Amino acid sequence: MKTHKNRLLGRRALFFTLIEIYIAMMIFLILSALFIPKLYRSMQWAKFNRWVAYNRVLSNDPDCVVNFNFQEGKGDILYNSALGADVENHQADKYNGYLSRTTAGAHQFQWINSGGRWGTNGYKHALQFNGINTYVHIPGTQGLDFTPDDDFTVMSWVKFDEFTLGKCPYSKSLWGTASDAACQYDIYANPWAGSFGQGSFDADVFTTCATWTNADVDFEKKGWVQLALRYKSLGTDASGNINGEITVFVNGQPLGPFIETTNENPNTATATEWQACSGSGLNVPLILGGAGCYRKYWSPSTYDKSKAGVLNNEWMIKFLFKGKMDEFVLFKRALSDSEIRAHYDMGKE
Amino acid sequence: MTLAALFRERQTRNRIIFAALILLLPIVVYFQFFRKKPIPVGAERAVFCTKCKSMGAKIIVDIEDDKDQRNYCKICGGRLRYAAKCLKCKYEFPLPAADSAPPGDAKHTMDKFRFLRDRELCPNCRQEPPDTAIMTPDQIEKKADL
Repeated sequence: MKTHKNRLLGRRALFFTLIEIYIAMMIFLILSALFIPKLYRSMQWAKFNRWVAYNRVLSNDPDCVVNFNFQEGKGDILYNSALGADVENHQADKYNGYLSRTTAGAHQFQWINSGGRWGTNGYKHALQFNGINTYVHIPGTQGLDFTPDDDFTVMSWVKFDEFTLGKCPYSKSLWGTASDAACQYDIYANPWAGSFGQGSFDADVFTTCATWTNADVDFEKKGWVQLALRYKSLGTDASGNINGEITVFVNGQPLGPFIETTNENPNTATATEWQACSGSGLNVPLILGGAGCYRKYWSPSTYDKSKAGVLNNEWMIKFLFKGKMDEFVLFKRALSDSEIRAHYDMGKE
Repeated sequence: MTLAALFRERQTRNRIIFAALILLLPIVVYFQFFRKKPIPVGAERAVFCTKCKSMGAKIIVDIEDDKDQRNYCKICGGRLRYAAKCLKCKYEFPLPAADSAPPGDAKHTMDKFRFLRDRELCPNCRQEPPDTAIMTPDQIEKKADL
């Protein structure tokens, strides 16, 4: 610091030299560089902890049947934390997810620690699906079987590596031929524009194939996406048909009215029978990372006619998802718009 | 001139401190903002070079992304695609790009899935899946460094 005689004041005043001001600025910049990332990490840590608390609340909901938070970070099992589901003889571990492979051998999943949301800071883990042979098998079906009279909601956080047609994050289905297929629920990417399949996703619920226009919701297709599928039963109409309302939410926002494509194909208008996926039919499990299909149509050379009706002989996985998943929750009730929005708000980065 | 004498001279001392801080700032910025542990993205897939016909294993995020340099062959610069193999005629081939829309009459999910299956037809003998299969990295016999 220098002293100079100030002409106006008539006395000696203190001045900083230019280089001293530069030094002060440099110290300020260095301290900022040290503390801004820590501040950012603290914010991410707070958001992560808020999500952890919220996820635990979801587990305590009696209508929550499956809750995978993907925080295992290693191993071959996704542990279901929905311990208190109001399902007859409920045992949460029946709904654990087993990391599996479509062909023989050990699974080829890759756990990505710090690869989930808020992941750069090491908080949230994710599972990488490779799109060739990886899927998660949930053997328990009792609490996951729904009829058109039931309500349900499936919510997940996924990150698509490739947003191309048919990448299927989850399904409980048996796709076969145009005249022989069955589905309870599934969802898959469909980025194509055209008279059909204009939206980003297609969903199938019971006997309805639905596609959306993506005009209502704009989202980052390569980023983390909250996907929610909700089915609300509307009861039986005068002609005895059970009606229901299907809504897909992307990042907490409903995609809007869908185009029903089921009836556009005369061969399939009445072909998709939900009963075949549950009850006295084949008890097809819910899987993450692919679409369940009939082996007799998709892989006839591996189908054993003498074992007709045996699940592993009838059912195989196709249309595998390539990307990451770091949360999956299933409720046996229709969540409200605001509950789905809250799930998005609590989970967004 | 000794170090102590250097620091006694105010202007010299300020210049030394300033120089030291100038050196320190980029180091701090680098360690705080740029030196992050890379998070693995994508999955290891068997890939096929459409130009030189080599095959190898590579971490692929989005094979459809033309801007991603990982989707090009290190040997010849050709475009990489996922590798598939016909189990009947043993022909190895690249899966076509997913850049074509399903036909207008593919409305139902089954129609769309059939369209996807037809992308995996063997170009040599027209076999369809499951007699053609997308290869896994461990199925490649001669792995090139793509």
